[in-house]
Amino acid sequence: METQSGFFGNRFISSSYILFTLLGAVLLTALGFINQRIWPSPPQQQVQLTVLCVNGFSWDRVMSLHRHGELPFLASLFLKKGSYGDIVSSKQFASDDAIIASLFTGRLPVKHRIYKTADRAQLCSNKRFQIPVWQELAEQGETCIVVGLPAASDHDVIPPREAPQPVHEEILTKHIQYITRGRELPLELLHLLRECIGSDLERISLAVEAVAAYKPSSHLFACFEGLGRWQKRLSAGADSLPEPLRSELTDSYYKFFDTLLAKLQGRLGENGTFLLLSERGNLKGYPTYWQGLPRRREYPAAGFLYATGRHIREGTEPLLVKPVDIVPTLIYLTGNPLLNDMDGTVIFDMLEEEFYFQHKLSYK
Amino acid sequence: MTEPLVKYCFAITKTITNTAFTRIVLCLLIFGGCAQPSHDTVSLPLSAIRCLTNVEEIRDIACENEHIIWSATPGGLLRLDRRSGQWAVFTAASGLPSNNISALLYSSSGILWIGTDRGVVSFSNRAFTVSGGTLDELPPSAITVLADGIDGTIYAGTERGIARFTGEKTWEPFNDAHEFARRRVRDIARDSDGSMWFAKENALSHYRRDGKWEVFYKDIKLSNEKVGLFAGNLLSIAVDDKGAKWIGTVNGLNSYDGIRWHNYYNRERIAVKSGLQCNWIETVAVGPENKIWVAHGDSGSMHAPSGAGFMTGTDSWSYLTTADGLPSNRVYKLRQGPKNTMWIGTANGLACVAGGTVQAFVPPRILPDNHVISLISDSDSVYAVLPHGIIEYASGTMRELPELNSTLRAGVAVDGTIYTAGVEKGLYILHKKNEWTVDDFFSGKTILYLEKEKNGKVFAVCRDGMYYGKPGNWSKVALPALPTDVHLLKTFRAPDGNLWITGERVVRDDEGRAVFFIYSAGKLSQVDVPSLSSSYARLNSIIFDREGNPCLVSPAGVYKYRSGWQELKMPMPKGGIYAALWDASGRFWAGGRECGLFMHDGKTWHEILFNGSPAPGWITSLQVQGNDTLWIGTADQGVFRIDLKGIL
Repeated sequence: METQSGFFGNRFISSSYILFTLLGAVLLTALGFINQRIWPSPPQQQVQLTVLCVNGFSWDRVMSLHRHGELPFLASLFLKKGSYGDIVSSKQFASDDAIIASLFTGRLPVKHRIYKTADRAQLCSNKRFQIPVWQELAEQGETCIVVGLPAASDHDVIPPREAPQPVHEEILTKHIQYITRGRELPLELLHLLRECIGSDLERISLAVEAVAAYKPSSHLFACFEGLGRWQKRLSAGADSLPEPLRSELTDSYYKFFDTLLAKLQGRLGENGTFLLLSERGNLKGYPTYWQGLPRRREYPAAGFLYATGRHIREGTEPLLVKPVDIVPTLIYLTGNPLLNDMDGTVIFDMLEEEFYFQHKLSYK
Repeated sequence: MTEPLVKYCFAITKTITNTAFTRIVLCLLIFGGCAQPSHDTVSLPLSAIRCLTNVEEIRDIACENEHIIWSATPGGLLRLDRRSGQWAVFTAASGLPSNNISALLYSSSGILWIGTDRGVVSFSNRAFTVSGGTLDELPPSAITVLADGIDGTIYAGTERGIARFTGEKTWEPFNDAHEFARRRVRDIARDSDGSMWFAKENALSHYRRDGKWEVFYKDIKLSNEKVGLFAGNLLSIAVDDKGAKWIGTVNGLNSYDGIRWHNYYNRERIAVKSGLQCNWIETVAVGPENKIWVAHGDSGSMHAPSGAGFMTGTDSWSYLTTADGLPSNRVYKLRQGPKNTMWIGTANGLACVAGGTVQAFVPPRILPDNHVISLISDSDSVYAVLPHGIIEYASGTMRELPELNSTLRAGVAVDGTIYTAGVEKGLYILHKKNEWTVDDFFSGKTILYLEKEKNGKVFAVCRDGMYYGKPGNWSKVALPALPTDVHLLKTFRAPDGNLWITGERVVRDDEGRAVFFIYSAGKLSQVDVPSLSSSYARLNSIIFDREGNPCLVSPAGVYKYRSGWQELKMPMPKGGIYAALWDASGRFWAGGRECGLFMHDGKTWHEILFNGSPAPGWITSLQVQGNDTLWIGTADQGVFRIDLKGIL
């Protein structure tokens, strides 16, 4: 029988080939150990998130006040390196509550099924698609302070006190005086204003106290509803006030709120990442700055987004992000793995370019 | 197991290719499939060519001296004499290889260098010379920018890297060894030390005086820490009197003084002070008193055109606009001129800024637009249908017809009456009394195509069917029901009275396949479409030769119908044919996208050259008047009128 020679037919060639390959592999491995390429090691994950959701916070209002220098704290934020834009919600977000739930769960309304204010309590129900970002982070061993949003008491999630300290009457009166400038307003409207100021003051005090009391590296998630309620009531025109007065009353509340935000100035430290957002700022239709935007009718809600601090890019163009993209971005910023069932994606345009190359994006 | 199989396959292949028969078949397939019919050339003298273009959009500026200013436009080269205010227009009819002029340089040796989409041309002694021998010696022929070095070297930025001309016979590629070396060059600037800076779309290359290259680019790993470029996409560069480099990008303006980088950008919603009005820095220039000027062009932004900006303090900008005397707020080029002047190239002419005053220079309006949708003819007149108007040429004079507030799509001229249809609904009619009227019959109907009949009537093809008649007497053509997924597109009347109808079968949202029908004696019969033409449903058209044989003109080729489609062999690339016709003498003319103009006289193909150069631009339509005048409409370079008398 004839023996065919060739690459695999010759035993000698075959064995020397395998030997040579093995030697090469050993040599390469050894070289790899000897000549290790020193890649820049990623910095320690010490991002301290401060996420403030202010219902109704609107770019249209903020822009004009800011240009007149009437929002000093926001002006100081804008001077920092940061990214800004709109949180655009399509028609499938049937309500503002649905948008807020998506902002904190990273899931679409069809999944989280939170459509009404009354449903918001489900955010701490431990159902798979209703788990909020603070619960996710707590599961990774990070401490979160939650104010104005439902949170199940947990080792690492610090919910608000059940009975917050009432705001002193004289403080309330001072702020009402500041916003109304001593004008006579319908009693019902004044009552609402008192409630709105009281609510926002309480929540800011809770946040400041909790931040001071717990670990400085803890994350803060807070939601404020006073400004949104006040703005909505005035925009509805139910109190027969002239438009200039309604506009002035709304602007005054923004100025008041700017002073509240200033109380969280301490969160803007070296490791702090500060996000200010809202579910919808366009109470009267599309924002004025959307005039040239194609397909704007497909997005009936445009919320506020401003992010600054650690790992946030200096963005030159406004971003258009979806509500569900906020949570994946926050989780990625903190160095934790994302959940595969989230509907959003990381907003890389908001993060420093090198962040992606220094931090592996992982899923669980 | 696999080894014997491979060997077997090799053996079979070897046996097949070894047979003489197979070799012949392979050769025929390879060479026969690629072969194009041979052709000779006919060069038209410049006196036979007349060119009608729009020269209002100034893309570059070169100052010969304080009085003579040269401007580059997509429609030709302009020379302005400030003393007399006279403009001279130079086009392909003057000897340029193309009307599309993109860059200019008036060199220190007194030569005007002109960058076109077909290479570099020099102008001296009132003649244009293609520099350096042949066009092919430049890497790619589309020139983006021209600049001269301190030693007289001419640098040309191209779509793929840099070329230089040192006075030797040819241009030579001149690139660094970086991965971005052969990217599109956007701008070139000479530094105060004589070194050269090249702003490419993804990197900034610095050719130092010691002959070494330095490359600045946005590094994803940030290993190049000294580079503070804000964005990866660069657009423009200028060097100021102090040696600082100013780099315009799509995300704002960067300055680099050799040590530090500074970023300036439009902060839009979060801005307080008067900042840049847009982040797209189309051009940056250093003006008198070392002032930094910027302009935003019309690209990459939703911002309204904002004029020309200049820095009045650190990141504080003022803008000159039409309110200050600019001809347009759309500014494409800024160039410092002699005697402390700043020249501004806009979409509607030039402006000179000197001593705080703005003087506008508006070029003559020859054609409102260089984009010709179609050429139509009627008795002694030829009309050019442009996106926003119609031009009539009759008895040697050109006339702009009354403006129509619609974007046009189709038009026909019948006995002095013009019918047009736009992208909006309705039919617009211009009677001899020169007033556009709207035909009520078509209100609510979108007309896709218009075709005239010899009896003065018109076919109008709409989405919902085909109509025939004339104003006040329209009727719907009673076609048999078409398949529901087929849309009508065009119709053509054959000399035998049959109607050829083209349509498209919708495949996806924005994609269709061509379908053809013949409508004869109340019957509609479908005709197969040549496979290559099937994806050009909206571009296909039917013309008829002198014998009445239908011919399909499609970008994929020209096919004659004789009980089936037979392809005509043409010396033009497939995919590039856009216009064809038979003239009264039976000559077949064809033109297309950047592939020249060809004529078949029944025996051989001739390429028609413009003074030795291929016909410029993207030919969209052809029209003949009598036997001696050929009209060429282009998508980007206006209209050419060729006098063929005594030449062909």
